[in-house]
Amino acid sequence: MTGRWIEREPMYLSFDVYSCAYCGKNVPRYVWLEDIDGDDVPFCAPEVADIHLRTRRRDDATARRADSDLGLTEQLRMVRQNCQALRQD
Amino acid sequence: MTAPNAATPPQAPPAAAQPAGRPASDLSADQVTLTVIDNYLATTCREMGIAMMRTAYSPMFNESLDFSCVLFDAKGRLIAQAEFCPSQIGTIKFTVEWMIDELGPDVYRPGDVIIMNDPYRGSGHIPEHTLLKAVFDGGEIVGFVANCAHLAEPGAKAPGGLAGDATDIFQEGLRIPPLWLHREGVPQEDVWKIIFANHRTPKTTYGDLMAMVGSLNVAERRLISLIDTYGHGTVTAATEDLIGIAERRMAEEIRRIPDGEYRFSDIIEDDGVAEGSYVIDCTVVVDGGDVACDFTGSSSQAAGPMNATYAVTASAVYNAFMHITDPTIPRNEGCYRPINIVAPPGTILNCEFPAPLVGGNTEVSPRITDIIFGALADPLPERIPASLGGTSCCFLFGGQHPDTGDLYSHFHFEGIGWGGRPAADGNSQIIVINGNCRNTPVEVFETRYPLRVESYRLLEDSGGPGLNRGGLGIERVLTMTAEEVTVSAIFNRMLVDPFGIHGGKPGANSGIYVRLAGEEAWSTFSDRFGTMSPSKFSNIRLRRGDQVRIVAPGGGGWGDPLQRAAERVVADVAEGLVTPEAARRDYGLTVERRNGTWGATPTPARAAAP
Repeated sequence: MTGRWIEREPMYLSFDVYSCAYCGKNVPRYVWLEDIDGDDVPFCAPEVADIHLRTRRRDDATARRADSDLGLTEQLRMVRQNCQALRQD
Repeated sequence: MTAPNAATPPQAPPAAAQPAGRPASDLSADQVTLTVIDNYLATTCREMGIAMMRTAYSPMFNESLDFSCVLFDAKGRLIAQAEFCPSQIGTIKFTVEWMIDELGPDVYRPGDVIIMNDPYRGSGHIPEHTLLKAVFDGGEIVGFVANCAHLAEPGAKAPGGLAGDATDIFQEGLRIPPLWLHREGVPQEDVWKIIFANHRTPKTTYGDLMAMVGSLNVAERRLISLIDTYGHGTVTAATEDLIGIAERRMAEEIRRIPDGEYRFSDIIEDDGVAEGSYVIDCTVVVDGGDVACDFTGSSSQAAGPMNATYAVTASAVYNAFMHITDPTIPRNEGCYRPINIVAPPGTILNCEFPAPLVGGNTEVSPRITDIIFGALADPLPERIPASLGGTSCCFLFGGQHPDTGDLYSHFHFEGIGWGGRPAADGNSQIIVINGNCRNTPVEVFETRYPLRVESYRLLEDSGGPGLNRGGLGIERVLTMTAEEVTVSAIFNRMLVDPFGIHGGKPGANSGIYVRLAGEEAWSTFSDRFGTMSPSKFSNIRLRRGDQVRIVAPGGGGWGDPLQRAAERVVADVAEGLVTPEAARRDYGLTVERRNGTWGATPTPARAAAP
């Protein structure tokens, strides 16, 4: 894991919406930026970035069919828990 | 991507912050108290709606009921809703979450009202404005009350806001980030003035927004009254329990679906701007008490306004599961928790700024719900209906009223046929599944606007044939009675049929046609005015005497039509819902009336059917 938390301040001069690169949800304030192939890729939580890294296919970055030992719903349960945990903070 | 300003790490999220709902034996309040509080909260939402309906200026509010009212706890979790617009109820969860996060904590004062309508911050589309108010008790925030409503005029390129050929979000209306509409009860005139200056109908906007403010005030009083009666601690504990109960019960409902992966796809036929269609592909993965709806593989975002945001997609998925699970589950944050959504950014299900998207909330949303139904048709044959007509039949118009000289603007939507069900025919002429609204009655329509309704009728044979027939669509013919009326439209299902299931046949397509004064034949708007799409266009100027013909689609059929009981087909023919020709072609019955009595004779096809 080579990412970092950032706090997204409301920006009005340039409008950037951060979507979790895994589930797609727009992330209002706290964003986990993961360094993937030299790019900062946003996620709703580091655990979600980890899922993404473990399940993505090299030849198709958008494919999310699990090729790990973690099933899709198990992954999404973690996504949900982490997104909600973030909300509680 | 631009790096954000700050790099302060928040507290690391705990591994599992949300328990899967406390066990029933661990509830903090007795069942009676829980039920009373749950019903009180839902009734408060209904009362908010009544306040809006009775005090607003536009028919969108007081006739069409295109609004929703919800309550949140102090953490911003949805704790109550009522029988409002499903697409708004689903998105407002994201809208309020965003508003609270963007504004930050400790910024609210008693009497503050925040307004927001930005789809890229969780709203369904620009016409839908959300108002939020924090409720205080003893100087402490005890909850938030919110409502969301479709304003008939959002300041877009086209009167009514739904420009079928918009190419970016800026053509779809005035985009409002979270702003204080009122501070400590005092209207913020600067904000109001900007809104008034950008809407064609500022008086109506004023009346409708003030109706929303009044609705929030009703909810604020009710919430404080509840806390006065039971105490803050009891109410907080009860809502916590209710969220847990809803989560457990929804998980139990999902557990009744056999584990597995179920896939279905359908097509959005065009986007009003570019040629080509868009695929929505969904894999529904059921795993115990959790379900994931993964839209990976769907088309890239559209050039025109047929895009959905993540919130719209999630809302449509929630809507599907609310329809096929126990309706007595408390409608709060908990009932959404077992439902997970993956919508890759940059697709038609999660478009990226500044893509146009106003049709996503009206057209893509019901299609998503239908796709979930289609995916679950085999594992849940006793619950899943066939496709509904699947379009809101959005017909927009505006201009200068000849009687008053004022500008007017209106969004008219039409009822459609719903799909045949496992135990009954589909309903006819009901607003699309994400709407739960009503159309504008003819009398109000003709009183408020310079259009005359020439005819309005159920359209025979539009319901998809089936063991249980699809509901019927309608036909409406309108005549312009002003010198000039500017019209726009966003329809769908004009080319792609509403599907039937389990052997049922498709419902009839939608349509919108024009006939200029003095002409005999109807034309599509593409043929007559050269619009890119026959069903999605904006700002066509019609003249006095010109006519528009709206055709709303029927629902798909459920089951083999040759298995439909003869007496039901005879009744349909006698009622004029099915023609004798269709009875013979689709149901294998020759239906005739002899000596005043209807009767039916099987055709060889029916006789040979198993």
